[in-house]
Amino acid sequence: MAADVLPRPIAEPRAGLSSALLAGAVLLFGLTTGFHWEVALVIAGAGAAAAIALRVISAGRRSDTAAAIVILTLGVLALAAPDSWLAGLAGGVAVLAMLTWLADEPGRVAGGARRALPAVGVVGLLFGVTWVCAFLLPPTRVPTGVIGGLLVAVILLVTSLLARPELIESEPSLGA
Amino acid sequence: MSPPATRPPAFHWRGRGYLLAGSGAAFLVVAIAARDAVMVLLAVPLLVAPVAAALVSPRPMPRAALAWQSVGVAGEVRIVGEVRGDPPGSTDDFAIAFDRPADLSEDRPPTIEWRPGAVRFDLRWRSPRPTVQVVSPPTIVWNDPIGLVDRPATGPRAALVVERYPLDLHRLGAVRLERTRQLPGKSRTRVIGTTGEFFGIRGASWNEPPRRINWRASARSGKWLANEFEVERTGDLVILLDTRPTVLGEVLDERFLGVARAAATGITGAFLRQKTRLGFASFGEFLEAIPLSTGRTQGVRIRRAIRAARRSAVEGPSERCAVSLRRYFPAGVTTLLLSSLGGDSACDLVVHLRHRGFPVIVLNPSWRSLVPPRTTLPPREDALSARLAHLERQMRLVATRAYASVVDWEDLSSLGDLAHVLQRPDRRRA
Repeated sequence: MAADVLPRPIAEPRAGLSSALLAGAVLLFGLTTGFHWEVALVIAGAGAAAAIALRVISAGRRSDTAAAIVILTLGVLALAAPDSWLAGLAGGVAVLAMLTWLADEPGRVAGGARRALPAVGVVGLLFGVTWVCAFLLPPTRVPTGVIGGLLVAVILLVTSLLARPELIESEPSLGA
Repeated sequence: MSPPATRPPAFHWRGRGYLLAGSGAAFLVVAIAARDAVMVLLAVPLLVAPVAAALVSPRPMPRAALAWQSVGVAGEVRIVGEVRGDPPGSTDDFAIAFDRPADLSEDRPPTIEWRPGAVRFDLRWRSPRPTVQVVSPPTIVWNDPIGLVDRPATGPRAALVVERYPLDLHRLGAVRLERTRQLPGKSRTRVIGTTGEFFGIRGASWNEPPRRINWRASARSGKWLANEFEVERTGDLVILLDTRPTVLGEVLDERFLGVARAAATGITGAFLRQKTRLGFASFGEFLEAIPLSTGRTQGVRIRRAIRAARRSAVEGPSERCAVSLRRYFPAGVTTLLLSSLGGDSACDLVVHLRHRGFPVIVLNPSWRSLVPPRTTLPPREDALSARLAHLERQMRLVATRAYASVVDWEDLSSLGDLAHVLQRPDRRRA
């Protein structure tokens, strides 16, 4: 058997509003980091431009690689980011902008960003809570081991959810 | 044994979901090592996004109702259809994948039209040879807009049967099968009527004697009909389809099965029109059989069984086929074996069938007719490989001819060679 996957309705490459949003968010995050502003602009601009261009040229077939480029760019910029509320906010907004950009994929029915609004909204809400906890609450002396343990627990929880989807969804499926 | 069916998961993560979660985990580790709060704030949305996408996906599971049909003439196979989603908005994120049978090639790229609440598709395939193929219903999954989660869509979806000019034995004429019906006098004639000879009414041939014509029935039906008598009936026929995997490989085996299904469909129609008692069996790992009978209902049964015949994953032993066949059919019934003779045990099957008392006629399609012209090989090497395949097949045919009549089926568009063998018993081996 040979698999024939039907093409999506919009096959032409497009770089729309979500791409501008991604580029702006990454550039803003770059400007809040400790890099010299020219260096930050070069790193952020090169990463965002490469990702957008790759996705447009491949008509959405290399979207995962493009997403990896954006994540790598954010990681490099975060290495030099100061421990400030503005840099944290800009970084989180950049990730949310990337999710919106991924939803607005070429080769899919237009309006993906609008349909992804509930998922992006949940992520944004959790990010907001984390950001408020990190910078706006009064600082306390919490042992590093407790923080590390909590973070490891979060990683294990997410890993187990990824490995066993039935923990989230136990609905009978097709053919059941 | 075939593996037991497992329930598919309600949803599964896509590669992009693993990419985001893995990146988030890496950021978190670096954040702990470097005590960097910004890195944590980057990690949180990356880790949460796949889980959030799964949690906000539509509930209950999206349903997709499929309506499709096969159109087209001659070798063109055009499949048009529509997928309707429930809720209607879910169709925007449907991904539809078809399994194209190996016997069909793509003629043109598929076209698709996205409408509110429905997706219309138009597949252009081509069948270069006669075939009967069952196209599995497409796999329809819902992708979340970010591309992190897949959910299979539920709903009724029936398979589609594609028949492209199935072969027919229009000129079958008078066929003398191996005699399995008893002659008058050997059985109690009261069970078949006062004369003990009348069998039924059939269509008259152009040179039918006037005494044989059933004038009343002809007048009622408006076409020439003739009486048929028990003494003219010779025997019954079993069509045996060998669906075991062979050394030819999966693709050629599937092509052989497509052609064999077409041939079996045509032979079934021809013999049932003659009111011959007909049976069907397919043998892969085990034997699936339809016992001898005649009539339209039997035709429906056999066609259903022909469509259900699939290439088996495991090769059953030949002796099992012969033993099982004996449970369903009496010895002496003419057995038409449709086999590619590609497996090492194909000849053994003929031997075992003979030992169990079944006279066998093997219908063997040419391997060369199943292989499309290869452009990757230079012409000289292509000719050499074709020659070697021809010699290998001829060796197998010669080995099989010691035990059965073999029809060397080169022209796949006609069953004339088979009809020739069936009409002339002297061409068959005892």
